[in-house]
Amino acid sequence: MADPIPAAGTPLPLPPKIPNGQEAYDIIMRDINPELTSANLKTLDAKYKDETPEQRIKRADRYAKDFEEFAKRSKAFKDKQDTTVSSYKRQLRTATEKRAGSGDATRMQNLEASFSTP
Amino acid sequence: MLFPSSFVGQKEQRLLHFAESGTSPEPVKQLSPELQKLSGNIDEIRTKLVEAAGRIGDGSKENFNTAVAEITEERIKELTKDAGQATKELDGAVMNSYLAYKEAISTDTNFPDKEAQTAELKRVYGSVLHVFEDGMHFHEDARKNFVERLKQEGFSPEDSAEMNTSLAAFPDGVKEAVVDIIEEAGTADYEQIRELITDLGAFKDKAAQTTLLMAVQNRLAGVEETKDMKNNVRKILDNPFAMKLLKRFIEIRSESTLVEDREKIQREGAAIVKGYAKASQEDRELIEARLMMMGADVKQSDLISDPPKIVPFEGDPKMAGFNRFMGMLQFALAYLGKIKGLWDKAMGKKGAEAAPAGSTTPDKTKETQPIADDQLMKEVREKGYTATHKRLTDAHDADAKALNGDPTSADVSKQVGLMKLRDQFKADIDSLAREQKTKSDAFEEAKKTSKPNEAQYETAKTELEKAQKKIDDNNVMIEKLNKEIEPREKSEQNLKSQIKQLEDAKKNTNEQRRQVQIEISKAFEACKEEPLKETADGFSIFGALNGRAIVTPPSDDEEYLQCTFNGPPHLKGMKDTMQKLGIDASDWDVEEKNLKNPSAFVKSLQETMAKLQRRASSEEKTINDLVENKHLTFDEAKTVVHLKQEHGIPVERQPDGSWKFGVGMDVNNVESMMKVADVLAFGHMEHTITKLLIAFLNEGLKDVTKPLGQSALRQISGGLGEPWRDPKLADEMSTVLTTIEGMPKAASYEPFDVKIPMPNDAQKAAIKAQFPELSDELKTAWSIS
Repeated sequence: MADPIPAAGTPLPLPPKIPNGQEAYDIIMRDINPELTSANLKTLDAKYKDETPEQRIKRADRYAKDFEEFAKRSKAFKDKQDTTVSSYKRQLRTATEKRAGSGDATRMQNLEASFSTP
Repeated sequence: MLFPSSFVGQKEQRLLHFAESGTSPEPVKQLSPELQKLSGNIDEIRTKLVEAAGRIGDGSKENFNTAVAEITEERIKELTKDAGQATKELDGAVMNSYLAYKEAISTDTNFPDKEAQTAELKRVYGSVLHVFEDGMHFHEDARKNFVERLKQEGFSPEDSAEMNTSLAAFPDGVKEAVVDIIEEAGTADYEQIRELITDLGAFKDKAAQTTLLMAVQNRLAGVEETKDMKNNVRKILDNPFAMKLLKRFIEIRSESTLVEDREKIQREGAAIVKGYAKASQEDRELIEARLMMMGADVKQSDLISDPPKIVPFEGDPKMAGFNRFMGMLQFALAYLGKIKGLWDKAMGKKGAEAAPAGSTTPDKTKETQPIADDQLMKEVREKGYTATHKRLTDAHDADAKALNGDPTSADVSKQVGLMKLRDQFKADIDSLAREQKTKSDAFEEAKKTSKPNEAQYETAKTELEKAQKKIDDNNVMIEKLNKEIEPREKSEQNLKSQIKQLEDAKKNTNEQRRQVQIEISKAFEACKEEPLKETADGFSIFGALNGRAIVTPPSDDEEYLQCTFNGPPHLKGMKDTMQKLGIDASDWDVEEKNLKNPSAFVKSLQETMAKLQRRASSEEKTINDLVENKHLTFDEAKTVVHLKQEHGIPVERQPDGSWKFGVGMDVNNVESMMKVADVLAFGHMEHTITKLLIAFLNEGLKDVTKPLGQSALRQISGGLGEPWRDPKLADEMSTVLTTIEGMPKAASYEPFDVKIPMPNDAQKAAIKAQFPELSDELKTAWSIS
């Protein structure tokens, strides 16, 4: 006799959480310069209200470096996200194959039984 | 020579750095399009920021703030696009998975309890696909896409109708509320929705729901929550999606006109409660939940009467909203409970509750009936054959479609299944044939030993015919299977062949790796013992640390063979060898006491190898440059690099194809020039006399009295220029030409054609007078009697 019918309840992996654009931006920028996260942008006016033009230019240089770093990290972020998606797709496919395969065992079982019928 | 060119070709990397060449500038590193774009973006950002800040032109605080905001917005936009793409891919994968599984269930008659399976399928994928159980499909666009995909994938109109019916089964208000929230929240809430579905498990009973109701009431009323209250509500209302949903329900109730609602609720409610009286308790809960969601007050309504009396929920909009919200929760819980009951039952769990007598309840007898039931087995068999045939004919396409690429593994898996099936048929035929033979023998025996009995004969005959019929049927099926399996077998053979090749390659690689590891271990072990010499094979370490196996040398190259395998048998010898290779190993301390700690030595060796590889890499670039841009042959390029690096001799090919040896040649050093000639004649040119060698020799032969000329003449005499076999002749000729006044000094060489300076008659007389011991060869050459 074939093995017992396998349970079809192989759990399906839940899709990974994909942060939306703003969340992703904040996740990346938070570690580079918290000043530039979306929530803090609104506070910059007050924070630098007494800033001189020279100081502003220095800040511009600083921000330019921050955005340069951001560009690098966002590429890494995207690469990681792509990897996560691919990995999930693989997991899902494996789980699906397992679930969909449960009928084969049943079929063999039934066929065996049918042949034993005179 | 230690290493001929063949060794160089096997990564020995003897050719060294050619930094002074000047003929091959380091190529500019090309950025990938992605990096170019990135670089461009960074430049744009920098320009924008500094301009807005006021470094160039009119900067201002406002301009700068705007610039920062725009840059940020642009970055977010890009990331949103990426997130959308990733989400789309995930959804596509889930969709494909769902369709694959659904197809497996729909085409496979042998799934245990298809009905429960289908329900389970919806439940599982529902949560993944962001579908809230059977009917609450969040996003209209997503629904349309889903239905469209079903059509494309060949799902029946019934499937599409089922989707539409499911969606239509919900009150517009609820549906719209959900759609509104999803549209407003976008994909960000999907995780929360899934959590909500999971958390609903904590509120299975009425008591828990009542607690939740109290918690919600308190929260809506702004009552300060105690710790217990917070715990009660945390599971559900701390889920942002649930809270949004609740608030939206309340808003809907606030905005609507009760009069219009009332008519709608009564009209639609009456349709929903149809069948309520005969429904199971679980189905009743579902109906009640739907009524609550559409805004009915179930407690005030009379659902049993005919016609039913549906009373809209009146009063505080907050409570009306909450009523709808609770309806939603109840629906989800009841539905989950129903599915769980069906599923437990289908899986044969002990103690599972009896399934309610609802329309979706599977037929109990079907599950519990013995498997030997003839009728059932006939049905199973027939359906199995049909389904198998369909699966066989569609298998490949279905796999490719369903599994979103990489159909190979599924195909192979399927193939194994089919072959098992075929084997099963074959085994069955064998069994039947044996049975037939037994019966036939028995029958024959009976005929011999007893009087034939007509009835017995007929029975036996019938049995034999039945057995034969079954064999025939199975043979037909096997033939069908073979037709299907044949192309797959071919494919499988190819696959097996490829796998075998890969396995062989892997095996070889592993074997090589193992050998290298053994060599390293041996060398390291040897390093720990005294005496070191004669035990550790330096070249084994060299080869091992260089990441390659010891290379089998060309059989005709004895020198190389010796160098590689019988070369320096100990570490000091290895150091010497490295130095011969031009690697500075002077700081290697190979005294025995230090070699007790081999790690420092190994580290030093690794650094050296890395350095060597860097240098070799640089040389490769130079050689490639010469080949590609100067159109030298590979051997010529190698030689040019080698001459420059090893001997400091610059050489360039001229536009007319001739070779020019540049400044830097130590033409007065005969030994040095001989080395050059050696390189040209026997080194990297692999015994081939090339134009480069000829050019070099002729360069020297312009004046055979000078050291360069002497070395060239010796080279010719050394074996290239018949009949000048003896190097002594070269020296003798050079001396004569230097001594006799007015003698031409130039010679020339072409393969098999050497032209030496010829004296005139007066000079011949002078030679005869001044060199009475002149060799016979020169006398002959110069026709001096």
